[in-house]
Amino acid sequence: MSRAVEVHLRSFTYDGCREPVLRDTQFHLDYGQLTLLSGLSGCGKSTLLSLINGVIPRMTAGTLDGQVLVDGEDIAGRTMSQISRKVGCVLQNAESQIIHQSVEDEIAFGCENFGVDPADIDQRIGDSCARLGLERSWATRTLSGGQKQRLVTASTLAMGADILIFDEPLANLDQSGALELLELLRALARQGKAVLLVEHRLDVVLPYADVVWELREGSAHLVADKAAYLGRQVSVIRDTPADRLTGSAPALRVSRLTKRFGPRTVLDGLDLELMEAERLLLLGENGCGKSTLLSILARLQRADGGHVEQFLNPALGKRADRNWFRCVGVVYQNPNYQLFMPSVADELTFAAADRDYALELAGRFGLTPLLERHPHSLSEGQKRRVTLAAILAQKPRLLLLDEPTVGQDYAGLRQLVDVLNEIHREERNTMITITHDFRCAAALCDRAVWLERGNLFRQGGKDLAEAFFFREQPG
Amino acid sequence: MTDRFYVRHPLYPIVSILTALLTLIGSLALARSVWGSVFVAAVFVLLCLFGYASTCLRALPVIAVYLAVFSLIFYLASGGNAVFTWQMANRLAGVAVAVLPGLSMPPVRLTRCLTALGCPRLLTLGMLITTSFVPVLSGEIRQVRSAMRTRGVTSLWNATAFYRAFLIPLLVRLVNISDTLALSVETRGFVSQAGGYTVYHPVRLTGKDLCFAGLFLAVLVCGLTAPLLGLAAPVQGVLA
Repeated sequence: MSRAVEVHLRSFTYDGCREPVLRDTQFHLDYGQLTLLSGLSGCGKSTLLSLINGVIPRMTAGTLDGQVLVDGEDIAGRTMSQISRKVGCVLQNAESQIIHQSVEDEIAFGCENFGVDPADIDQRIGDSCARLGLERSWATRTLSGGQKQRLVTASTLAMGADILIFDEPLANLDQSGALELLELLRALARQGKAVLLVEHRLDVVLPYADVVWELREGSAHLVADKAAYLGRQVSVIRDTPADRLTGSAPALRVSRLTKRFGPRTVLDGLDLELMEAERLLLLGENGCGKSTLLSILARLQRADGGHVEQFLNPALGKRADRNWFRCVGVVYQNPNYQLFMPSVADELTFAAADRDYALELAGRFGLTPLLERHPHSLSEGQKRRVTLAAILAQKPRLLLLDEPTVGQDYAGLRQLVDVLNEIHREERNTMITITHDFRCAAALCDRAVWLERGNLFRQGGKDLAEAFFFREQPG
Repeated sequence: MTDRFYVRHPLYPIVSILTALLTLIGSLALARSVWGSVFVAAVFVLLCLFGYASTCLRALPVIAVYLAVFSLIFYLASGGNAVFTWQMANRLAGVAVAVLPGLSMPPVRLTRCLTALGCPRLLTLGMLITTSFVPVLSGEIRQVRSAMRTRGVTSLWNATAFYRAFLIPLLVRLVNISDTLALSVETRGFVSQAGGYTVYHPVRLTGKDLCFAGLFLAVLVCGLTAPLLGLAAPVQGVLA
């Protein structure tokens, strides 16, 4: 039986670039296995996926010197539609992939394109919905980020391809959602499909992977010892006692905070106090109100009830004006919203308290080689670091971080956590972090708060992060 | 957002489109007579009787406010000319009622109908994505506005700030979204050429559609031929 995918590459170079992204790469994917492709941010994982699903060179131009075989056949000269009959692909950013207004129609779309009989389409929709925990009548605009991810997966599964590629499918999923998806992918592999996964959350994925490849220095290497690789990649990052600086005066006090979106109550009378120089971690499943709480604390949204008292600076009024945002640094989950200057250097110095400090931060975040680059030409992980550095350059008293670790490989994650904690020690800022990444969660907090159904479920120290992330063990 | 207006069994899409068009034309043609008001009211009632009652009733307060505000404006602007105001109100009411069939129709239904009639898939898919894109666009604008503020850019009136902090992230996001969307569509087997695809829920013309069309045309023809039968009923005659 031929391999599902074989890549024999001497080099691949994007148009306009001098250096090849991939070189001397031999890669294969087999049926009946769940294969993980890992590597540092910007190393070429998405490029390899794009070569397999046909995006390169049909939609993205580049010079390919080599061959990509799917089911033993060279795909050069095949159209994307022809390739998609064999290779199903779930891309990053599920929100941007949904075109229909109901779950049923979205799942049917791929099947319609393949000329599947309507009765068969109906069956496939039922099967996909059952597998992914969706209801066919749901409106897509009402779905959470995790549900949208599952919808796009369901749409791909319904098409019936035997080779499935997933590009960071766990990015918007909480722990339980991630484990459910991985169980499904493992089951699909056991049914004989070839499943390829690109992920940074190795701690979650590695126990499920049959085969692991690492992309390093432009070429793919098969990882022989999964356990040793796991050990190197998923060590929990620890902070130091010097990072724990909680003061005795309050920085923020939240009283009976309520927020509703239509009939849904997201925050339900929440009470919370944050002390000066404290690092607080917000834990909870998708949709529990973490990002909404952060947004209200940042004064980007108004609450429907209750109030928030700030003790950061008595001179600050009640408005979310420029002075407020000098004092409160907000780092968005998606860095693309916050980048707008023509170079990384300009981005860092834009609202910086001190230009030299901003450039020093660039060094700490490993951004010095990228200073002249346009921010939007960077990888997502690099963009996230630029945004972080730019906000930190303002020397905010309160730092609000919404998933700052998404898209970071282990080395980048370690560096990011170390720098955040260094700056915390230097500036004695107050931090609130949301993250699904258990490797760094404890290192970024002195106290953790677990939200459920819009209110405080539990609060505790760093051990609460472990209790939250390990409340369900992988299968 | 607009899915709150969808009806369970909408009319055949082509019938909906023609209804909207002819309502607009009819209301403009009959604006100068009382038949304009009668025609628009009759179309409204007809829609209610053919399954659009929930949409019509939901839209009614908005239509009433819209008519009241603009009628007042026209009345004041024309120096208290009630005839002119009534005639303009007929036209405005025609526009409002013409919107109702389209508002109540899920875009996918129109797409499937046009696809089944042989309309190029690229066009129908483009229409579908465009109609789905409006709430996405408004969501993106909200996000960019908030993000701008987090970087200390709080005013849109500063041209540099507007260009840099608003337009650049917005355009980058829109390009990213459209790239991802195009990729998603292609990797799900979409081809622009005809043939080789099926329609999951084919949209067919039914007896109900033909009945509605017949009654609608009857109302329109009555209104248009009323002057020929000596029943002109101009607005100024009625108000005099």
